[in-house]
Amino acid sequence: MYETLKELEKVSSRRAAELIEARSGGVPLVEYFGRFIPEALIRACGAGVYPLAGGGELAPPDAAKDDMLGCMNPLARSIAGGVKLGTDRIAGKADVVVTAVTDIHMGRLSELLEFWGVNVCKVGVPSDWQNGIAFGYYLNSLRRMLETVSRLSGKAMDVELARKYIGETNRVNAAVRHIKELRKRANPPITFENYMRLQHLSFRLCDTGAAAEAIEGIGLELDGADGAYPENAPRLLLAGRAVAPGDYELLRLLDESGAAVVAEMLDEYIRVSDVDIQLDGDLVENFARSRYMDTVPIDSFQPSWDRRLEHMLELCGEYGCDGVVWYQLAYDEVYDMEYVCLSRSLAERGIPLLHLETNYSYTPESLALARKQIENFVGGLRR
Amino acid sequence: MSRERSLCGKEEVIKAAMGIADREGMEALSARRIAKELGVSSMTIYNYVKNLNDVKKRVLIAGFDRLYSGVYQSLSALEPPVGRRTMCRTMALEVFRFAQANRSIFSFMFFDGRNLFHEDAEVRPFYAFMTRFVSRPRGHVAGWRPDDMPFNLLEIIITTMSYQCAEGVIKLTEQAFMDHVNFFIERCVDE
Amino acid sequence: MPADVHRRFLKLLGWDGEELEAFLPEWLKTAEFLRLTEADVAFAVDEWLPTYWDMSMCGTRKFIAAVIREAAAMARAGDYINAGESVIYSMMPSAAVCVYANRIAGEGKVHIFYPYFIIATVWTSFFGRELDARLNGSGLDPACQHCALNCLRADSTIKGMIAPPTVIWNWGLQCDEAPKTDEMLKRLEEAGWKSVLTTIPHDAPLGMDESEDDGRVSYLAEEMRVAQSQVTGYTGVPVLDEHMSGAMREYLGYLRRVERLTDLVMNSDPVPMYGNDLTLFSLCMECAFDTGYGYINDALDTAIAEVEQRIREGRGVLPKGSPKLACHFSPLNVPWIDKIFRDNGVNLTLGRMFPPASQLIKCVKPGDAYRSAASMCLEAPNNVNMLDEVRMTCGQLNRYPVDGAIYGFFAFDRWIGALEKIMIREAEERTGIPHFYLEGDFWNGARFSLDDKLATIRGICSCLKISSLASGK
Repeated sequence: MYETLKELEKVSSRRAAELIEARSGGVPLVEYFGRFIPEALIRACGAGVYPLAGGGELAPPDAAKDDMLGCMNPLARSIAGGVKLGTDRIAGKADVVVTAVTDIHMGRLSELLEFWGVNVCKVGVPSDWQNGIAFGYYLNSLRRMLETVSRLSGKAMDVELARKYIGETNRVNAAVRHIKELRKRANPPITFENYMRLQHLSFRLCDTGAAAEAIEGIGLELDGADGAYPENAPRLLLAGRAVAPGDYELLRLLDESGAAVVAEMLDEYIRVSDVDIQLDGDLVENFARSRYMDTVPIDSFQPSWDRRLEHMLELCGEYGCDGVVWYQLAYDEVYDMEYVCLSRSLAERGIPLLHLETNYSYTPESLALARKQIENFVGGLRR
Repeated sequence: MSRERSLCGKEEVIKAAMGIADREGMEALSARRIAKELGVSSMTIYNYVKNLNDVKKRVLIAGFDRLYSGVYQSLSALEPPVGRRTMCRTMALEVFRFAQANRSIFSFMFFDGRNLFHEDAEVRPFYAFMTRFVSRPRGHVAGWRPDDMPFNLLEIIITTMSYQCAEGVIKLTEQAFMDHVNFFIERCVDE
Repeated sequence: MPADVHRRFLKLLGWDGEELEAFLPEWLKTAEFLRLTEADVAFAVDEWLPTYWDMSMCGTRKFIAAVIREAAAMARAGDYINAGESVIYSMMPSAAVCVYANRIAGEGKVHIFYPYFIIATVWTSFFGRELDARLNGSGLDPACQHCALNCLRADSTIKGMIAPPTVIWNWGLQCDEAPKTDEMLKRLEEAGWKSVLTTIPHDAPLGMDESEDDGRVSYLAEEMRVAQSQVTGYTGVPVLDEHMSGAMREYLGYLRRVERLTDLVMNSDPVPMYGNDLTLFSLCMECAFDTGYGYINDALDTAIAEVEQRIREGRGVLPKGSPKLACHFSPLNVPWIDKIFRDNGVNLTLGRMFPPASQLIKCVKPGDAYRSAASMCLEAPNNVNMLDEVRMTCGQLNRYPVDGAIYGFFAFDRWIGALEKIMIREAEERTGIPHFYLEGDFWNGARFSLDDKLATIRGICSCLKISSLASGK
């Protein structure tokens, strides 16, 4: 498993370089952020895609401190800082950065990138998703974004290609669902760190076909694999906004705590794999529907918390979770509000809950503190 | 069991830091040193300030407060209307005197601290004082832009020479310093 | 006699004789509703109001009285509901016209309140009560730096301070937190309060003049229309075009007065009015009062006459030539800030940096009143993208002679405050006016202290005074 992931890491690194090279050959490069952005459809418009992925490292959030308010969430500050420092190797070279404006953190981050001269195309995602007119807003916004990409590439969206790529996306989803099934085993064959690495890689391969193949292969590998955790480890669900590519150290702490993180409910940097995209009819609308209407609403949607709690409880039941880890980004105010509600709801049901907050300051001291918190929590679950 | 005393607030930490900077220089400033000064533990200090940079920023702002209060006092003692050249001379002299009296804080304000904080929104306006606050007649940017250059240069001359004198790199009397300033003002600054 | 201090309070604000005695029982109930003790009222009368507000101005006293009347009306919300009338609660910032139209349409049977805004303003501005100590019940993590107004909303609801309304009209014109507070309370209280939401994503391209963009104006207008139909579903009172037009007329009447007062104050030297007071008069830019525009317009007319008189006499709050520092939202909830600038020889002024009425009137087009209301919302600097905001604030800064501008009192707000640090660089570049930043919290003085800010404020004041000398003032 480790070797396979390492190999995929290499492929994904090469992929970034290939995209940059293809760009010099006239294939526009689109960097994108957010589950509401269709990588498959952008590719079908003749562009290369790469995920805008930051978070988890200390330096980038600090780099933006003189430009952005200190109490923006560290994910937004980290992405901004990465662009400012140039550690995001694509942002400076992309023809356009597509962002999904789901909340003010993403809205202001997008503006900051624009202010710095990055060509940004924003896709508006209204939070009042049950309002009849809101879906149309998102859908139109998506169509406008795809037109922008088509203008860059000089090609209209190739519908057949789009169908093919969406089919591949559905294959990725099926492969992810298979691995999720394996995580229901008494001793899951994949650690949470590796699972999240795989999730992130599935985007960074920038090719849904390759991602489907890789994840299917890993699924087969895991079918016969031994458990990755100690026997009878307490089982955890992790929920929050996002586990970022720089968060692996923290995930390792969780994996080493003696507990197994077997399920997750995250809003970003994660495949929306519970629902496939329909291949008939208007593909843009099908995609929009799958993200906006047909899946569990993200935290900033209103209303969303009842449905999210329900989903969390379903996951706890399906995966046999003993406790929940709420992974909170510092200053992420709406998630903190959801936590207030969640803590009460879970307490009423006798489900233990750990509040684990990050400001992406993974110093030895803060990691030691997190380790202590996790160990105490897991110790409590064992008792 | 003795309980550690609590502080009145952040200002107590900053006052102690200013005292240390005045007496021992900015180099001596550390959480441990401030804690010792106040008779508390280093951890207590962090109940009041985010980190040492936070303290340094406050010391720097307190330095600007001292400097500009002095400049204003001197300028307001002059018979109005005060011409631009007179203003520049008065400011230069005040900056020079401030640098001699507050060697370490001055060096921090215009050199090391400037590197650290020049983009900080609270600190940034205190720099480029000549262009921001002296060269510009009240009004729109278009009216004062062309005047920028001599004032920028004058500020560099004033701060650099004051710093070098305060640090003992060059030896100049107050009069000799003002001779240099006058040389520049008479050639480059309109009354 | 316990009522004495309350009488003194009302007298200070202009009540007298029979009118005072008639209002006293209502005020006593209001004070109880606001959890104000006699000691609180005595402190306000003897110390807080005279220290931070220009109580020699009849206009100021009248405006404070208008806010108190609104608080008194709000305290009766439960009675209105019991009497079968409808009560709409709304949140800041909102399109005041839309909310007020319901009051007009209801002909006395529909009441509109902004309870948390009014409570916060009365507590902090007039009684010197910081919000921190009053927010313990919200359950929100203080380290997360939530907006104190939303914490107040959560806390006061949980503690049963506020009567359940017929419906809450939430607005998501700026932040996400305000509308989501509603969801949080629904979950925690299971009270089943009905609510509707008007919102629009912040996805306009940077620099777009949003009020001129047909797509954005149309969508926001539609959001307002949809929300209104939902509100009507709860109140049973349809809001027709004539009600919207009536609300617009009244709102514009108020705006014109604010513009007149601002023009007078900003173009005068010496400055004839405190910064806090000027800001106070613009309190209703993004909200409306159930008590209507009568009291506040009367207060404004009085203030305008008083300011004109002061200008004629050459009287100011500081000597002629004292610098003017335009404040992006003077923090009247932390009124010592205005005073400390004044004590250091600088007028903190301009207030809320809203576009003047003459600018907003351009948004009003015949036909669809919701389009006009939406366009006006998108002409408010804090609702739009950063460079559109810069365009508007530069318009304000170029309109009046000011020596500097100061921002930073929304350092907790992930929308308004998010990019202020770069916004002020841009505005300084465009106007040449020095821009300062003082990190603070508009709503909650407990989050920062005078001691911590004093050196910065004195430094700013010295710079501005030096600048004034340089310009020969």
